Amino acid sequence: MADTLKRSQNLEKNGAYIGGKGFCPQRDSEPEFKNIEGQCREFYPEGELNLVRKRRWYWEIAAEDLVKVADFCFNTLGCRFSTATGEDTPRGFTILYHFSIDRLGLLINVRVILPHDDPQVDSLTVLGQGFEWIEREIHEMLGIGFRGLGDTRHLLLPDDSPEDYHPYRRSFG
Amino acid sequence: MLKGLKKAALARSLWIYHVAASPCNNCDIEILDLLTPRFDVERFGLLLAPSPRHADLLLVTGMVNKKVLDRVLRVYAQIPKPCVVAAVGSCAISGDLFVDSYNFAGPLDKHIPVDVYIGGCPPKPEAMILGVVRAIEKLKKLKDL
Amino acid sequence: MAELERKIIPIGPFHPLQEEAEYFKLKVEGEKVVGLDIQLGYMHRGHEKICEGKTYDQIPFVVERICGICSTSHPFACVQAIEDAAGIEIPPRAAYIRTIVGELERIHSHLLWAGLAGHFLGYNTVWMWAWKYRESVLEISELITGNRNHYAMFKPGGVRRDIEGGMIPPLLATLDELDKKLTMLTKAVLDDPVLHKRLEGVGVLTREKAIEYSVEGPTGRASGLKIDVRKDDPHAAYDWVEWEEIVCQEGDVFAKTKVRLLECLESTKIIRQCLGKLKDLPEGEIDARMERGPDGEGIGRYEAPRGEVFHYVKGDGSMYPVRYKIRAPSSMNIKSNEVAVLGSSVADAAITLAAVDPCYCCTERIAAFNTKGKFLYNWNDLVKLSQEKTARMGGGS
Repeated sequence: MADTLKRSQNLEKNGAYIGGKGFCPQRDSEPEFKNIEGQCREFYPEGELNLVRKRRWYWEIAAEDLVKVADFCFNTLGCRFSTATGEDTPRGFTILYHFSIDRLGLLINVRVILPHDDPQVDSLTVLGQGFEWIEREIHEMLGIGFRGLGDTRHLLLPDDSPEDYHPYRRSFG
Repeated sequence: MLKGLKKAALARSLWIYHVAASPCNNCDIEILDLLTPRFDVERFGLLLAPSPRHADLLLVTGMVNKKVLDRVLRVYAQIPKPCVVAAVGSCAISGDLFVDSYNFAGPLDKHIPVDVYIGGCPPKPEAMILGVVRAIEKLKKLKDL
Repeated sequence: MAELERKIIPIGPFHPLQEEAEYFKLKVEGEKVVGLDIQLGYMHRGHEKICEGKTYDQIPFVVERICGICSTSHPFACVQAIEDAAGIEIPPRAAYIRTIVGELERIHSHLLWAGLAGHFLGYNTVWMWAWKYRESVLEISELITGNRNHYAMFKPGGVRRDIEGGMIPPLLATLDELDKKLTMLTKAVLDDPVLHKRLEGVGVLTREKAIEYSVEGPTGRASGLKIDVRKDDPHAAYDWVEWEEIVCQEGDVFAKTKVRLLECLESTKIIRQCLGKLKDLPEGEIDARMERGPDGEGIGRYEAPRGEVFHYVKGDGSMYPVRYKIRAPSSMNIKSNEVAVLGSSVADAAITLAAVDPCYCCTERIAAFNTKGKFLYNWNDLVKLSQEKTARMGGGS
């Protein structure tokens, strides 16, 4: 006990802020989760919100409303953007945006489905710089166009790859 | 007589140039580990050279991917011969689990001649020291010095 | 007004390979850095596509080889994603063993960074000491798992090897030794006046910019963001032991150093508590067998030494995944260098770019150009400038 106290005092002397000890009760509080669910359903009732597990929600929305919903998650709910997954499925090109509410450990995964023949969606770089690289990667790997994405250079593939070289498409190889 | 002197001088203190051709960095960290107090190869005169033009031994780590292949070939062209090339780690030797990848440009010995193969994932520092010893022996045996 | 230009000819022959070393392109005007351009692709190996062709018990081996320094973080997130998709609960003994291996890797990774940072600043003694103490961590890893890195300990449902009773006393002895050395190293680094002058106020990333760029890990915690996946998303044994999150407010390189070094001390605390609890659990129960592949989507996250590692898996009931997504933490953190390095002098560029803790190989490919596009310094020159500045201030060894 005395050792823990001395350690805490040393940490504070070095300018560190002591976070919660063990687990924090706010993280698991049911009313918080219900509150966030209520806000999501109220903001965009047309979407399909699926609470698959306590901390993993999947929200399918229309591609035109992407910027509106992403702005709600990023600014209103205060999420941190984790990453985005692009996939070639029989329903179309799917992009799954993963937003994380860190104080609850909750992941809200926003899904948009784009048609196979002309996949285009609005870029989210209007909200912040953290979206740029993943959009560039999805653009080169799947060939999806992002309206408003300024920098469309290759991120990972060699610069001299041909125009229609998209490794993540099911028709590749 | 001059030939014997040249051979002795070449094999005594090897300067190493290290090229990282898209590795996972584990082999590179073990190479740097050789310089730290536990293994300490600097007492044998082995140093990391600042430029390929000073190097006698080329260490290549990583599976060679298409973007980096060009750089590896250029570095190899710049090293003054005779030199010894060592492929470090199973990625450089054969591609390991990346053989199916679309970005794989072939194992190292498809592009440049390799003299020493140091296997492992990652090879332990003791294995790398053994590999360097083999490289020195190979240099001593070179006839066309 | 004439533009101030300074050109340093690198010592040694100028090799014509410089135009290839374009991973980070610093735009320099006189002494100040005014822009940064980042190019990637030299390390792209196509892991996501490879994983689609492997079964669920082969995938942890594939993802382990993404990075050699945080080699346990990727399998950790991977098995959690598969368990999340399949709805499997792991036995408690497996949770404690996973935590121990994860924390050992954290100590070794932070010591590695401390050594490299010391080298870039000109404190070669710090480099040698930090890597010498790191060797004892690698030895215990070899005792428990069989390898210094790439442990291959994880499988969906549990762990592959047990920590037997006979391994615990040498482990505890090494931890005691390590605690003393870590405390000494932390005090030596945090109390040095030259390091304070050198690192405080350098490479500042403000809280607002940190949120805009979505940074995480020690980089985010040094800028005042209280995020740590170990506390936020409950997994393994992190909820069952007592430990503290380290958050600083300044956002400069000194804060990042503080966060990393103090985290190592917290890690030894966690490992000790886990070892204490292992004694009460029966040996051998380390695996909840996974009978069939998951049907559905699963997400696994883990706090690697560099930040949050994110894995997403989508299965359809067979033994092969349909889609596998991997996101390493450096993808989000490296981009924040665009704002952190602006306005600093060229001598500080080396340490600022390295403070985010990118993979060592990636830092090798940094070069500085003036605003007209003329090449000025390569990575070795930047490190040399940094070491010379420390020597001018009276520090370094």
